[in-house]
Amino acid sequence: MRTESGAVPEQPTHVRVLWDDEYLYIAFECVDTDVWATIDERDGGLWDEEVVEVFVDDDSDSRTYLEYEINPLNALVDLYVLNRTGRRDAIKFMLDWNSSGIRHAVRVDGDPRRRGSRDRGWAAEWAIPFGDFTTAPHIPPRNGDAWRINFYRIDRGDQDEYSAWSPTGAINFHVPERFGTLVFSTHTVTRKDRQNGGATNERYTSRFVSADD
Amino acid sequence: MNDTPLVLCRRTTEQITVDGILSERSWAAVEPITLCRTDTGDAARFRTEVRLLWDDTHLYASFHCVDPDIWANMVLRDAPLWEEEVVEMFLDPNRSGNAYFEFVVNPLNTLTDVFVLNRWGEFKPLRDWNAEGVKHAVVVDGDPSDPLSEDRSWTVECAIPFRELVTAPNIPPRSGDSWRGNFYRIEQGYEWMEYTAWSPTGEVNFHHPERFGTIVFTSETA
Repeated sequence: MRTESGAVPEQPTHVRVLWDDEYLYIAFECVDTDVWATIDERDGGLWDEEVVEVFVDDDSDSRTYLEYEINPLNALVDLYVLNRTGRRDAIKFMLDWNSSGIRHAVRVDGDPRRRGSRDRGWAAEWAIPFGDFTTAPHIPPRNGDAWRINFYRIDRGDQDEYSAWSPTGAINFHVPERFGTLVFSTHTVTRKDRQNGGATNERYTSRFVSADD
Repeated sequence: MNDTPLVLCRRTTEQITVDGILSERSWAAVEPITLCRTDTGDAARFRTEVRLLWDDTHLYASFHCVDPDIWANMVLRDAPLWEEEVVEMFLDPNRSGNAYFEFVVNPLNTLTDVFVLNRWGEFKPLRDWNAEGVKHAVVVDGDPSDPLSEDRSWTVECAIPFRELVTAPNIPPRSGDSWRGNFYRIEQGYEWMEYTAWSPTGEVNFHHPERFGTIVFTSETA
């Protein structure tokens, strides 16, 4: 949804989440008629171009969280954020925080290097090691553990579009009070679940299930 | 955790001037914490006294270090001051044991402030974190730039705005709130290196949040 209004975005995004004992897996599928990015170094200013983002508040404190971003060139930004006051100028962005062992990949259906090309979309897949989540109640999570999380996307075009899983009420993703809840379940993915999961994804209420057991 | 120490942090109604001179009446009214060897718990070669105070906006800490040879060279914020002589304060306001704030000051009044993530015995220091509005001052009775001088002591006074300590349950703290933390000093002579702590950690490594002591805020004034 559009993060400022909750309205349906022009360019839809689907997010799926899975986990096993070692990783939190996140997949974004972005419909995008013009995929575009130029930055390819780690911790570059990806948010100035097209990007997908996930913010993870593993201890649900609404004050400290991890931020991961990936762009269509598979460049990664990872940082730790301290944010209590809600004042944008008081937020501390610690870009010297780096994930230990994150894996990430992107597939683009189109040409991300050319702005104005007629593209179809892009997909990003992450495996985030649970070792990143220093403040989580349990590592690996236990059945029923709840974290706070939000998923975001920035799409550039004639009109820039900022979309979120849980809309923040402004063009500002740093609103941890608005994060949704991620519940870990030991219930394993089956084909039937996948059909149901697809349906719930349409409503942006993803189900979170473990990949094995 | 049962054998870790506890200190009461008393309120001050005075204006604390952060100048490295502990002239305020409140400082004199505080019973000091002393540091011991962090690896063994044995008495330190040279005495360190730590005092705490608070008001609605700041946590005040002072370190008074007896030191016959005061020594430091680093002057840049966030430099690795711990390679020389320093005092350090670690604060874990939400008692998580996994994320805490570290403040380090040397005899040249250089500050290093770090947000530390620590779990599974492995710590990630984030020096990109800088606290805004920290006041700190040092008075040296001696000459830290002359390695041959006979020195006497150095005193650090600092004021940390509570609003920077974002993991705290309440800002400012409420009377009865308890945080975890530890106070440390690294003292280097020609023939020794001594790492001291309020709550000893069992080895020459300060990053043992499970060994932090307890700091209880009380509305009782100093």
